[in-house]
Amino acid sequence: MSRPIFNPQLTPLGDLRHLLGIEGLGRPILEEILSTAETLVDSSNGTTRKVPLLRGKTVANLFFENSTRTRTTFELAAKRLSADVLNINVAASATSKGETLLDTLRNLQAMQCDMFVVRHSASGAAHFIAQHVEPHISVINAGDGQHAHPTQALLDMYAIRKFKGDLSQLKVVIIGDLLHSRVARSQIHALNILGVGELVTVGPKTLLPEHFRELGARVEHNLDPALANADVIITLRLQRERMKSASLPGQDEYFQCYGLTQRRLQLASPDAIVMHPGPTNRGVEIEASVADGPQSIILDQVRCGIAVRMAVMSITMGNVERALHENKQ
Amino acid sequence: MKADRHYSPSETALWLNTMTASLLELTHGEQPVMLGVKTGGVTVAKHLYSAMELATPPGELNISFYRDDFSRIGVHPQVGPSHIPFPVDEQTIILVDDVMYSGRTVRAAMNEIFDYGRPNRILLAVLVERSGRELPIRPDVTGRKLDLDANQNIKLSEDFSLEIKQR
Amino acid sequence: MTNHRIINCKLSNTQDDKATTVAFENGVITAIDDSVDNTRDANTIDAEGRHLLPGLIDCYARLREPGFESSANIASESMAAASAGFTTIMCSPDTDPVTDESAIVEQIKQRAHEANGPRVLPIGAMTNGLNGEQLGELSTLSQAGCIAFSNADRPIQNTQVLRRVMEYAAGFNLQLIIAPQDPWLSIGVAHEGAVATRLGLAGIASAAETVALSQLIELGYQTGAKLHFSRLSTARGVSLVKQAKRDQIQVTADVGIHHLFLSDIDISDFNSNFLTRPPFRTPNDLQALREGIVDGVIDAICTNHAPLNRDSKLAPFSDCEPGTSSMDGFLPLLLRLAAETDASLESLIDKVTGGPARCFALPQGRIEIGAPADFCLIDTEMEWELTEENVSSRGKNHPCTGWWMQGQVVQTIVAGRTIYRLDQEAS
Repeated sequence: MSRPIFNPQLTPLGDLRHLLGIEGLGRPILEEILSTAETLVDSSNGTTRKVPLLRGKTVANLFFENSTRTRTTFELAAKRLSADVLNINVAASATSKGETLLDTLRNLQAMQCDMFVVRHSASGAAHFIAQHVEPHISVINAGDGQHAHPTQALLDMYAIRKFKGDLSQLKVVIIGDLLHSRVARSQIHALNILGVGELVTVGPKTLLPEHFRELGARVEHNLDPALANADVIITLRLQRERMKSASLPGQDEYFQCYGLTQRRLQLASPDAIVMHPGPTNRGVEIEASVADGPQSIILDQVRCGIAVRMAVMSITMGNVERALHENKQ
Repeated sequence: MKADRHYSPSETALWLNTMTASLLELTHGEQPVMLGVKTGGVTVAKHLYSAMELATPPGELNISFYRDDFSRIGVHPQVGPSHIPFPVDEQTIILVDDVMYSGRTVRAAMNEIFDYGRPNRILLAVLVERSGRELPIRPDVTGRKLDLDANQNIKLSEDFSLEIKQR
Repeated sequence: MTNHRIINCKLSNTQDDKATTVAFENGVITAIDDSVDNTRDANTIDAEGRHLLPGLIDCYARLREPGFESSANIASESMAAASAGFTTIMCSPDTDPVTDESAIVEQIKQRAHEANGPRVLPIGAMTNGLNGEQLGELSTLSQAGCIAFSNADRPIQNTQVLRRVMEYAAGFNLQLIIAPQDPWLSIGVAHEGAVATRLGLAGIASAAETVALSQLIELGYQTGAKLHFSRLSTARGVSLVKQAKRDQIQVTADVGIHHLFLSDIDISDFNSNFLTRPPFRTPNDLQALREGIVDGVIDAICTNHAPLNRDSKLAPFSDCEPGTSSMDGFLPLLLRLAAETDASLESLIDKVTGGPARCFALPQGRIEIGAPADFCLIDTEMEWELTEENVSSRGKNHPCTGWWMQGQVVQTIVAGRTIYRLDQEAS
């Protein structure tokens, strides 16, 4: 039975209000984020400068799942926009049940926060939070379960555009445990929205079900032929708990079948770039010499992360402010 | 109601000449650097830079992230990043914009400059100063003063023709 | 006792639309007369030409008492059931404590009696505490009033235990109700398919149902137990049941009403009111379930009613409790099904009256002389919107909130006694 389609991420005017996932966003919105991020990067030295845009605003980093790295880049991004930052690590104390989650939200709202950056182990958690916040608050999804990690995907798009230019001419290959990867899902949506030339996913059938076809990616289980003419190779992190399970015999066989090695890199385009959302398991999904090699842009990805997150924060908070202002008038 | 008008490039060239002369006089004996506010100010700055035969090409300021009307219009920085190809510390900076109206853009630009360092002094040069100042900021050098209605818009083209139109 | 009459009613089993009079006395139908009768007295109900159905029978609902009164209780759900036209409810044993001893059965019956609503028939636990290990006291529980036995939504992992339960039940000719869910493959929150993949939700493959069904059918064949498969959800599952019936194995099956209307596509925005067990599957499965209804493979439609308090659904999708509130709007959905499929309204009504009555050897579910005077009088035209406010169940977790419904229960009668009347509700 059909219900009216509405995108909880957008204001009634179609502007980005929360960033919960890439799916459902139009190409202009993604382009706006990427070009705003470009504007924030100092062209003379490639760093982001501190600007006073969000002075007086408070950003709460609400991490129900530990991730020092992601939290740090969000914190830096918020601080470079001159916002005050509140780091709340709920992972340790909370039972992760609904009551606690909503109670936490209510408390934070009472503390006059303007933005929640949310990381949670349950898919859909950011949507849930966005449904229950007051209208002046923006919610940024910093990873929800296996569903989405939109800012990571956006920074990857930023990096790809920076190093390879026009996406329509590129073949992108994503390798690894796609089933459990929120990053891969968001990357697939972003690449398709931005009009990627060719998109191939590769992994063992246990970690890459056929249904990924319906997300708009070719599904392959044999890595070597899939790498032919690849311009961008993204390897995903293999979570430790998957290394020895019913889904995989072990990390040695995984490396043998799906590890990105120097030999395999030769199969791709000579100027292919290698990406990884980090942190890498060297010798599991990627050979150390590839991760540190000249074709790797893994560290550049991290650098792009701050500008992209600053852009997302500026745009969403700006749109919320504007909507509130227009409502007042 | 004040009439709409068109100023040809030859008319604005006269204003630019006046500005060049005044700026040379004001910075006599110094090696000033120039910063244009994107995008109209950059056009004007490029002209003044060659007319004054300055040593360093002008930098570009995108003040989107310094605006004080963020809460009314959001952020729309569609004009590329700031680019300041020289250190600002201890410099005499000529800040250039095409039109000065409320003074808010100049305030934002100065805030941005101070995030890069501490200049010795800043001179403000604008092609057009229109009535309606809201801040205690005045240009040091003005091409032309215009008294316009609030609903009139000034648009400077790349060829330095100037269009004044009802919004 | 006085003789009561319902005049000017249409019976679903009459071919013409002739007004009929149904008389009953002492809770039993005494006469069905299609000659016009316009005499009225205090004991006359004028149906004003509306349809009179046998009272509806729900063969799987959760009333949440004892143990989960924060979500609902027998009194609240009895009233909800009465307003939805139900006169008999079979309630699941996943109470707390579990319905595995006579005292609990007595308590449920007592509470139902006090509620003064539909007949409540407890389903007993197949294993003690539903632990899947220790055979329950089936005979004792049966004598205490359990209509059938089930392990609710906690599949028995050990096939030897499953076999022993079946053998034991077969020895006493007791009916088992089993939800075909493989214990390992059922770990997840959504149908394993494109939608779950997109949303990153742990998937439950269709094989979770079919693997369990295959096993259950073979054990049923081996033991001769009477098996009722509870809440089918997949197209392949319907085929397996069809084949088992062809093979003369004693199986019957039901489907939850919402599985005939909703699919995994409905969970696309993480709406936790669509989180249920078994999960809503694909539109293809939905179609196959409807066909299973039409061609008779599926014997009954149940509510699979699972009222839940607000907090149980106020969390990210996968952290919520599964289940839908599904008493309200049941009959309008049945009418809609008649409009959307080849099934006649009469055959669909049979899936909630005669169908479950035959599955569980109940005397109700028919309008015949000598049958219990359980009725449900309906208006097939009345239109209304299902909103959170007018859901009578205490569980507001109804997935059809905001739907327009056509058809309304006007009066519900159990053993000759009116337990619900629409106008009373309004005033």
